[in-house]
Amino acid sequence: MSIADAHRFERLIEPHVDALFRAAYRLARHRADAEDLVQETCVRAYLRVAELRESQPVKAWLLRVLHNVFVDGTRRARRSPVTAVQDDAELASAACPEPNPEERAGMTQREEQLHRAWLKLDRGHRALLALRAEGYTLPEIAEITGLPLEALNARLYRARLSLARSLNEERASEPGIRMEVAK
Amino acid sequence: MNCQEVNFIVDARAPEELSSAERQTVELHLVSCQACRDAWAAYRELAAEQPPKMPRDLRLRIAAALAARAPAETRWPRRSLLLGGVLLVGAAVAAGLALHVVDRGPGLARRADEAAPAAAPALPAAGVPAPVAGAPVSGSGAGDIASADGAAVPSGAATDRAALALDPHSLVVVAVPDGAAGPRAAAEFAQCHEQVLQRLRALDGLNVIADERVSAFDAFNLSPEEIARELGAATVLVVSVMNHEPSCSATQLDAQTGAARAGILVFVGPEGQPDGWKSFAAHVAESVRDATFKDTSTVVAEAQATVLNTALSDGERASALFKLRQGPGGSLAAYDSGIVAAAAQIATTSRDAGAREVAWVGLRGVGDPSLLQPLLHSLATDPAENARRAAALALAYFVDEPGVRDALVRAAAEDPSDHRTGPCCILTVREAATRALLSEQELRDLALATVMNTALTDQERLRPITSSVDGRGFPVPLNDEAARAIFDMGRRSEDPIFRSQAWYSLRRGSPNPAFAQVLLEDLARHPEENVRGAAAAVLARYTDDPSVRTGLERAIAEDASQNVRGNARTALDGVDR
Repeated sequence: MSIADAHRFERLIEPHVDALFRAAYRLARHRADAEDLVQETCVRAYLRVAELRESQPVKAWLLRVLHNVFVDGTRRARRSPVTAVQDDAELASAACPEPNPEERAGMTQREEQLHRAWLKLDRGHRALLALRAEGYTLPEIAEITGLPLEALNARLYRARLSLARSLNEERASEPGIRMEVAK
Repeated sequence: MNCQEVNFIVDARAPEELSSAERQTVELHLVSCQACRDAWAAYRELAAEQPPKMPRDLRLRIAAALAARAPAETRWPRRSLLLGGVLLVGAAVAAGLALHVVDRGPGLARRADEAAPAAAPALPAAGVPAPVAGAPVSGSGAGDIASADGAAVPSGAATDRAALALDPHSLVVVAVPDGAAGPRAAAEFAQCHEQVLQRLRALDGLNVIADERVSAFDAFNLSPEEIARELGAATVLVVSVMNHEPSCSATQLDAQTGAARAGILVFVGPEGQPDGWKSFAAHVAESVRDATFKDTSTVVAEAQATVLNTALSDGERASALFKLRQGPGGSLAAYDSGIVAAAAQIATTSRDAGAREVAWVGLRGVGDPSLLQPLLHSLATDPAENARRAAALALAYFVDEPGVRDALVRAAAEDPSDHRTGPCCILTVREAATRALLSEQELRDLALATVMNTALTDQERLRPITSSVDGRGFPVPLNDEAARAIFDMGRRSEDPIFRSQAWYSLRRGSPNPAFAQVLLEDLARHPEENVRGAAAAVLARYTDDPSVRTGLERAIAEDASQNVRGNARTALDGVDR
């Protein structure tokens, strides 16, 4: 990378860091993870800035990198226990990425259930829902994810159904919430 | 029009853009289609949540990460990218103790030049002391702020401490591993330490001194503040991890006086360690940046006030209970009855199921008899399974009181939930109640009998050996028969997590040479690093066998995974055998 590329990168990325963080937080639903996602996105984007065409919308390009970092995380997450966990009980619990007790205590029961339901979705579905919830339009999401518009529509529909199904499962296991809903 | 088409209309256009015919179509569809109604309701709940504001130091972290990645020939224009972040940090640290926004390029370069040749050694002149085995070794930090620290040689400078000018912008980070560190604890601790350093190094104007420059002093039995003085830093941050709790703490000491000016205590929680370390590291770095470290008594006083403040949310109050448990007494029993009463009030009356659960977990081990009836009531009636599970485990401490055994037996037999979600993802409410009823020896006997019960699934057989999450999870020593059974289960499992769990469990039995060959095979060839890492850890007990030593050496040299290499090195060094 040349110095010109480095300067170009700085000029291009700076205005979009906030938007990246918002999208990353929607994806990760965890602040520290969102920060890591943004950092990794910037590093990857930096290494590939020469590929960016002048006419290309920078924000969409960055969001696409973010999306890829997030979706690639599937493999990393599957392999991650050894990086942090070296023993049995922790290995078992590593399969269940829940918020820790302090974080959980700050959540309402409904939020916690939504969070658990979210974690059950595959990353592709999570990415679509997060981007849509952040206000990106279907054509923008198609650009970010690389999905054709029709496929995007079908997957977004299935993602919402999956979310509802997971959430219903979570809430069905909690009699308290069923009662609240019934009210 | 089918569901998908209706969804496309809603997705593709804002409500005001819909024609009246489209709006009617959508409304009619939603009235008649439960699935779509549920889907949109769930999605609206998700979309209504708003992301927090971006952390102020994120731009600095990004800049640091980019600088570290920049090819040597490219000078990343870091200062200009940092400008916004620097200004923010500068405002925050105007009254700071460790930070200082400076034109640090030339400043740090100067100090780096000065550091190495500086002074005559006051320490024993035995050359450069090697880092002590087991001391955390994290990233070398090439290209980051710490690289400006100069050579990793202890100068041993402080012959005249009174005259020593300590740099207020330098922070020494001393890592104190858990006393009972084995490979697992060491690896976790290294992770935590690394996260903290990464965050601190992203702070501008702070000269972070850590890793080899600090561990080089381990051989000299110096206190943290003495190490800081030797390194010319005014402040030292002591980071330690208590794996049994598990929790992290960070304490900031004045190098000149040794006064503990600050203390952070964070409960990490039994699950999700990587997240726990990240949160802890972020918390520590923010506290350094903003100079908001507080001494332990302040932390405890604030936590007490939080617990007692009924105007706050139950979640916030319950979180504060953990800080109190980390205080001087180590248990809520050390505080006055008002705290216990407040915790019991949260546990019994909160509408927040998470708060109820956390409050009961916090009260575990508090022998206050007034808790007995609320615990029994909660176990029998709380609609949230997590709260019932926490109540069952807390009742283990009252098991000889009248009525408790009956209540636990009833829960063990009848509790309707068999979900394994919750605080540990491992115990159902029925299992928690069962455990609460048993003595330590009975729990061990049950675990061994379960391992040998071939009518159960392998997961069910192994679980009692591996779960130690309820505060009563006593380690279960394996007899030879049980070890053999676990070995067979591990060998036939294609699930890498299960297989690695099984291998780790073998460390609780006597070494059996018959196991070593399979473990060596896994270390050399298993595609999953989890399994290779577990095999390496267990092979620590077989290093008298030359072929095991060879296998471990090969893993150290060739394995693609840093973690596997680390485990193999630890095994070969003979730690935790």
